Amino acid sequence: MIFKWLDERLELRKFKDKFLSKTFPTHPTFLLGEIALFSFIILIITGIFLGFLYEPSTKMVPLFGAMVPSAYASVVRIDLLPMGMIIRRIHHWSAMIMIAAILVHLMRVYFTASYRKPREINWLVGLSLWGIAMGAAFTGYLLPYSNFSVTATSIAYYMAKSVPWIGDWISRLLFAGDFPSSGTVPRFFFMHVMLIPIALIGLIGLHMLILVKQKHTEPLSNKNRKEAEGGKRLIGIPIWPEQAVISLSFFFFLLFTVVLIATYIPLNPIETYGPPSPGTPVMRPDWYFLIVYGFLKLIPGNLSFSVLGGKITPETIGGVIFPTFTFVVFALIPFLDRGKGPQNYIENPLHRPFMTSFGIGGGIFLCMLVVAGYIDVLHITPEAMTVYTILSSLAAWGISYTLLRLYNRKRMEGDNVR
Amino acid sequence: MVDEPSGDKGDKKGITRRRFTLGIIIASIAGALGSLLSLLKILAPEEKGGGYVSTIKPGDRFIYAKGNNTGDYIKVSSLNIGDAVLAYPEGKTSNPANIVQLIKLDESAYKAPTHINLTDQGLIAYSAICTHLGCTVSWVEKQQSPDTSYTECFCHNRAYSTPPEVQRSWVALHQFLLHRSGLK
Repeated sequence: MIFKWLDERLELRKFKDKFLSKTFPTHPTFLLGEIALFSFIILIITGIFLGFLYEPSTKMVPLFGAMVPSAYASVVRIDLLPMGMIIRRIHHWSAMIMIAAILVHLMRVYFTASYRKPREINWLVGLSLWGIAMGAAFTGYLLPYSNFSVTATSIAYYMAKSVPWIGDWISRLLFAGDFPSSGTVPRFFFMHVMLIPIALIGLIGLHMLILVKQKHTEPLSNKNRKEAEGGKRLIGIPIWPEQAVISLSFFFFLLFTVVLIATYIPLNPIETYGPPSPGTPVMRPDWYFLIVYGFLKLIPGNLSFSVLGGKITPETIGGVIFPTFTFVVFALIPFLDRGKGPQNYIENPLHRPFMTSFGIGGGIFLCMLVVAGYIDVLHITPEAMTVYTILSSLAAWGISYTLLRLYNRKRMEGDNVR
Repeated sequence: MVDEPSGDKGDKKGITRRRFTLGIIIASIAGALGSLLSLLKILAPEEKGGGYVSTIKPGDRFIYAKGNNTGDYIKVSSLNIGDAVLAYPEGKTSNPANIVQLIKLDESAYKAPTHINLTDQGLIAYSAICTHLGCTVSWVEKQQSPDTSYTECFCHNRAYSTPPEVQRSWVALHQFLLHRSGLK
C-alpha cells in the first residue's frame, strides 16, 4: 500500500529494479564491513542522545559540593540518568568495535588480494575511513574532561608539538592554543560531532558507490560455475530480499551483543578517574592507540637529533613518523602488488606466500606493540620488549613464509602428477 | 587538449586564447585559496605565557598540589628524608606548567650535576612535567634506602636520575631555584 502510494509519485519501481536486485556474493567474511557500518549507525544514534545532554565547556561549576569543569559535570549527570551510563558505554564500545571491524575487514581484503586493480581507489578510501574513525575516537576521548581525558589528550598534544618545523603551529591549530586551553573542548566537540561524522558519512557513501559500480569480488568457488554458465553477472543472492534480511538480522544481533557487553563490562568510568587533577593517573588508551603508545614506550628516550633545523625527538619518531609510515605502507600495497589483469575473484591466501607471511609478520608486530603498552604490569624492561617485538615479528614472517613455500611446492607437484 | 581551435594555430609566438583563459582560472583559484590561508593563522591562537611555560620565580612559596592538605604551605619539617610531594607556587596554580616535585634527601647526598646551590635544607625542586609527553612524573619510594628512591614517568616507564647519583641514565628534568623563602 505505502509502496504503491510512493511509487506513483517517485517512480520507486525503477530504483527497485535497478538497485535492489543487484547480487551480493555470499562468503562468511563479506560481512565484516557491515559490522563497521552498523557500529557507526549505533554510534550516531547514541551520539545524538549524548549530544543533547553534553556541555562543551571547561567553565568550573559546582557538582556535589566540589567545583568541576562543566563538561565533566554534564557527563556525570548523563551517567546518573536512567540508562544514561549504558548509552555512554554503548557509544564507547561501538567505537571500539567499529575500529576493530574496519581493521579485520582491511585484513580480509589484504589477505585475499581484493585490493588489486581495479579496486585501488576503494582500498585508499577504506584506509582513510580507518584513520578518520580513529580521529573520531581521539576527539571523543577529551570530551568527558576527566583526569584520564586530559592526560590522554596532553600526550597527543606533545606528539603534535613534536612534528618537526611546524609542530607548534599544528598543535595550536588542533588544540585551539596550547593545551589545556579553554578553546580545546569546544573545538574537539565541533570536530567530533560535525566535521568527522560528515567526513565519515561522505567517505562511506563513496566507498559503497564504488563498490556498487565495480561489483564485489567473488569467492573462487564461483569461478568455474560462472565460466560454465558463461554469464557476466555476479553469482550470489539479491540485495532484496535475501541480503537485506541477513543484514537486518545481523544488525540486530550486533546491537544485542553491544548492549550486552555495555551492560556488564564497564568502560571509561569517569567517576573513578575524577576531574582533572595534578598528577598522571596510571592509564592506558583504548587498544588501537596502544599500538602508538607501546611504540613510544619502547623507543629510547635520548634518541634526539636535528635534520635541516627540524628537531626529531623520540616523540616525533613514535608519534608522528611511525604512524605515518604505517599508513603509507598500507596505502602503497595495491600499487606494489599488482596482478596480471583485473582481479574479480578473491585469492587464496595460502597461494600467496610472500604477501600472506608479510601480513602475518606485520600483524604480530602491531600486536606486540599493544603488549608493549603493558610492560609496566608485565615487569619487562623496554629494551627486552624491543628485542621480543622485533624477533617475534621476524620469526612469524620467516616461519610462515617457509611453511607456505613448502605447501605451495607440494601443491605444484601434486598438480603436475595429476 | 590537442584539437585547438584553428584561429589559435596561426600565432605560435604569443599566448593562445585557451592558455590565457586557463591561466586566469588557475590564478584566480590559487588567489582565492591563498587568501584562505590567513585563516589558518587565526585558527591557531598563540597564548603568551600560557600552556607549558613555567612562571615560577625566586621567592615563590610552595603549597601542596595534591592530597588532603592541598593549598597548605609545605613545611620542611613535615617532610622526611626520601619523601617527595607535588607542589605549586602559591597563587600560580592555574598554570599546569608550574607543578613541581619537591624531594627531600640527605643534604650530603647531592653531587654534581645537581646544582647544589639550588638546594635548601636537603630539599630540591624539579619540574614535575616529563620532558617527553608532558605527563606528571611520580616518585618511586624505596623504604629501606631512601636515597635510592627515584622519579619515574608512567607514560614511558623510564626513570629519571635523582640527585644522589645517576641511577639510570636519563635526561634530567628542569631544576628550579629553591630559595630559602620558598619554604616555611
